[in-house]
Amino acid sequence: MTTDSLHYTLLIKSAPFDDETNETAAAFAAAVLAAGHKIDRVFFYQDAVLIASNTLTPPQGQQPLHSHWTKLKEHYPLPLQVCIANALRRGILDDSEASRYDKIKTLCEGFELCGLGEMAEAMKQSDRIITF
Amino acid sequence: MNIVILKSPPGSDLESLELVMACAAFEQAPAMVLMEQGALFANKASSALRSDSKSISKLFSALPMYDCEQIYICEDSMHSLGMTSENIHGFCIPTSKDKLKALLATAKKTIVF
Repeated sequence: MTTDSLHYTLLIKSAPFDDETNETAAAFAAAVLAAGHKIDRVFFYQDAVLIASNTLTPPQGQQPLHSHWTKLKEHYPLPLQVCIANALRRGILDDSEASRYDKIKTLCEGFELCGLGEMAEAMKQSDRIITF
Repeated sequence: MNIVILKSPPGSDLESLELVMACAAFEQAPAMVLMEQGALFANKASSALRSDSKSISKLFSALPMYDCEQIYICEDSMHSLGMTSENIHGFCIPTSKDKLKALLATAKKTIVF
């Protein structure tokens, strides 16, 4: 990383089925990382938490929505944080919440449920917050 | 200064306000700009959009208690929605577009809903 590299937080809030925002955000993240900057976190909020659902089944020949992010995470340190309150409302649970509510895990591997304190941290520490 | 801009109208779940309040709870209270349909957040008469959800007006009126004290509302948006100073919470500051532009130019970070 260069000395003038920036720390980014990406806030993704658009519903994944409305338009190409998810793909655009992932392409932006790839460009930022390739340029030597750091992404402190990608925070999925509101309907964007659906991207992290492992129950979505894409039509034949299409990639799952989360694959843009998990592929990127294979090459870079990239925290993929999903707002826990928004996720639970939309039926997305990790192991811990699935156990608590006696349901099944629906969160994709590579993502984690987090509180809104992460966005407060972003406000404080990241150089840039980009909203999609 | 960090600014959260609300352009979308209040929905049944007030997730944009929840983010503002969470940031404030961590001592990162942002200023807020209400514009376009987002100006409706300031309406004193806004009730819950679902019988089992939170009242928009009650939640919004709690913002000053969270140290969110810089809440600006676009005058043009107010007028186009038929709102007057009497309709909105008293702590909201009606502001011209030019002043909002100047304010946004000073923002370190912005989040738009």
